[in-house]
Amino acid sequence: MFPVGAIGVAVYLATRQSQNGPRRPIDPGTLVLMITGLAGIIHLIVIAQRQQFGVVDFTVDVVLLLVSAPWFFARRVFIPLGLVRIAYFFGWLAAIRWRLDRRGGAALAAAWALCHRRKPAPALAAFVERRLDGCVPLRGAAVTAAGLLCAARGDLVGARQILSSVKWLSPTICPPDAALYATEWLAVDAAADGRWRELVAMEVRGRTALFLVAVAKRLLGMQPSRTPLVWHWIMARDRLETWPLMRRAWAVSPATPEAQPLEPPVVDGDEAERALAAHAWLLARGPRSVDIAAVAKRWDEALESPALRRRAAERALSLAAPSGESALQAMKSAVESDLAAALAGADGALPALGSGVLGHAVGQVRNQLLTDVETLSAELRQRALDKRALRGIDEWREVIALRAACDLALLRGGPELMRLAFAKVHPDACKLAVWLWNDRKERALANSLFTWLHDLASTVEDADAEALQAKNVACGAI
Amino acid sequence: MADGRQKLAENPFYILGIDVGAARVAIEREGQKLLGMLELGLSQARTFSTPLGIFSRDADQVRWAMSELRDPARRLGHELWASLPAAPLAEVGEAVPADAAGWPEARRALGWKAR
Repeated sequence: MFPVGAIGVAVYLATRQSQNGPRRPIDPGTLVLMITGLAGIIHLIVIAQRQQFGVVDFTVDVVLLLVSAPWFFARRVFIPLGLVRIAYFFGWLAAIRWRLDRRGGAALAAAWALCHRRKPAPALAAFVERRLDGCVPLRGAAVTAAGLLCAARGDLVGARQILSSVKWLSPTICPPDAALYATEWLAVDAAADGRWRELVAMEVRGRTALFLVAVAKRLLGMQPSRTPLVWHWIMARDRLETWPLMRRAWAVSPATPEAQPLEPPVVDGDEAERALAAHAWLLARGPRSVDIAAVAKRWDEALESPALRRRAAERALSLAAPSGESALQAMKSAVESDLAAALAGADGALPALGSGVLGHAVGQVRNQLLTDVETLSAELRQRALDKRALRGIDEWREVIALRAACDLALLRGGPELMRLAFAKVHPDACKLAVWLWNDRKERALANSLFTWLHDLASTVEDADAEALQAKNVACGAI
Repeated sequence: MADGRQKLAENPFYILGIDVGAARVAIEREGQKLLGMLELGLSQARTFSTPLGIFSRDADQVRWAMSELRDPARRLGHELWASLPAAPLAEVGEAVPADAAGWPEARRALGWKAR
């Protein structure tokens, strides 16, 4: 009843020489598979000889079946039932699936089961956390497990940050299934919140995530044809549960033009009143709905207008106020702050640096982006100098925060702004990565940092840094 | 953006419902009248209109508005910002298309949360 071929494959996988190193020892998961296979064959022979099949035989067969396909049962039985410790055990048995990160894989199963608990279970969350602490060095499945643990605790923002970072890890230390589950969680999370544009922009894997992307494209009017939607729905799992979403996407009417930022309304009155109306419009509707540059242009006209200066001077005299000019300066500063806040809340690249209130607002936002990057970078460097080690996942979260700040600076300010930040980020992050690699043996994390610095050096066209990091990347992740 | 919205909405001239050119005496009179109405619990005193919509008003806000307008320098600053009529100019909030609504059942349906 047990395929001999499976045993042969297990022996082959366990004993073949790896490309880079010596003969690998047999890992426990493979060993268990071999033993259960052998036990199955022996049991078969015994039954054939005895020619009877009793309750004990049935029990033995059930146990052998469970142990021979641990992930199948973990995924379909123990995880949905929220049986955290049992899911951990069966995740550990499924070592072949997790390759070099079996403890991380087991923790992933446990964290996933924790997500299925109806009520908070602090003791079980602590159990998963202890298992994660034992995942040294930190690898892909453990990172995914940490993300799912955040999700189980209700920290969806933290879960998103961690699970989005799984793709940065080298495939040699990140099991494909861990990356798949991370991507699927992110896609489901985006669909739950209606972040359809974000979903379309994701690099997704897996049939469920591909179906959700097809839905997103339909809902956003990016895919007039229903064929991809139907195809991906048929190929995905949980078709019954996704049927309402499928119907909703099916029923969407053809594409509507994407909304462009609105021009502020034109009101009767002088330049100051028109600028105020535009400003109020921006504050009311938000930066994604209003053309910020148009608002800034009206303010430039208003603040330079002789009528406003005259009015401010006359009122200052009338009220016995210090000066109309200082009131106008305070107004200009407040306008620049409001526009900076609006730019910070908008998407996409910042306008070019220039003059006027928009130029000053852009300068404020750029300064803030650089400050955020430099602060995080300096903290990493100081910690490496002080040799203050954190748990692997906490190190990774600090790296995630720095990368997120740099990605934002690159997105908003372009390579030119990133070039300014790179002069600080490169030595600081490199110092941390070298410490992680040499002293802490966290080579997966270090390799990810080296790879990132290499790509960043290429973006900002720093050939020396690029060559240095290419050598570091070549050291591998194991 | 929230600070800017609050600053414009809580302009003392809008809180007191008076014109930017009002005399000091008129400001004090209007302020005292509003305080009396609020103490009596009259509904027309509980809200005030601004270009960003209708907001609630209480006695502390009225006293703060009156003290702001007593200082000439601060009054001048508030006058420059209160040039617009106190009528709502736009609906607050970004327009969200109907098809952007999420699928809240996603996590449960697809096996990432307890059913």
